[in-house]
Amino acid sequence: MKVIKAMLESGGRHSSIKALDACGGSGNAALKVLELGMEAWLCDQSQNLINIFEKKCSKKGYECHFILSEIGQYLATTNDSYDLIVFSSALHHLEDYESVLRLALKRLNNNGMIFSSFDPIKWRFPAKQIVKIEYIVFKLLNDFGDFFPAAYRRIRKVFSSRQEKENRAVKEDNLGELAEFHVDQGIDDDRLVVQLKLHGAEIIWHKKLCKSRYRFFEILLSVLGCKTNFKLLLKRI
Amino acid sequence: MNWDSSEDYQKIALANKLYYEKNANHYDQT
Repeated sequence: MKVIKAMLESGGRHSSIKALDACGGSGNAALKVLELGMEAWLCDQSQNLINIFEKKCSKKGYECHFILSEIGQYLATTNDSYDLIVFSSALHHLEDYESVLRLALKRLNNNGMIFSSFDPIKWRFPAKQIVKIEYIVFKLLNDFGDFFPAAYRRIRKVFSSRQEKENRAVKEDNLGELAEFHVDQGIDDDRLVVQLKLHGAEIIWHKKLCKSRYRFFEILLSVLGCKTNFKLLLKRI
Repeated sequence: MNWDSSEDYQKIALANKLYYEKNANHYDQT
């Protein structure tokens, strides 16, 4: 984030840099932005998460700005503009992340940038299989209470038809699965980059990374040349 | 939601809203 701030400043932005933490949740990215002396606005549709963000801001003495809205709705209807829009672990939660990014591009100031990180790339063998094993280990060690319910949800998903999946209504027991909408398939970041370029974006970074909760799996993935996540930094031409 | 988002988009957005409203406490500790 420090590097991005330096890039924005070298692009001529010297007054306060205004950043939006899109789908910001409890504000992890917004707090990093605030720590670097930028002005942060957080957009999220959960009042409970915004309350937590407010609490964190007040604890650290930061001024708290937030927008209670679904991100697509906000970007499509606002006249606000930003020097930086951050999507931190957010794109895979959006059914149509490409449209949302295109809306975000329109809300950038001159030389403004969009930074996206912590989203899974489109899975390729054997990365998906290794990450699944890693997830089982994680559930066993850190969330054992949900281990069997999660196994049941997985089995049900495997045996449900595509039509059933598409028609699945929002219910208490499948909220997590629907919320993590693109985790199973990952995001086709190469295609996304092509599409964004066609819609007036200049790609500054497009990095593929190898990430895991555990060092062992990270080494294994790395040795096998598997990538799991991607980062994008782009601006509007 | 009044931008031209699809029904699927709205469904996933709703699932996210409900999921994070329900599990917000988890993020209070992070």
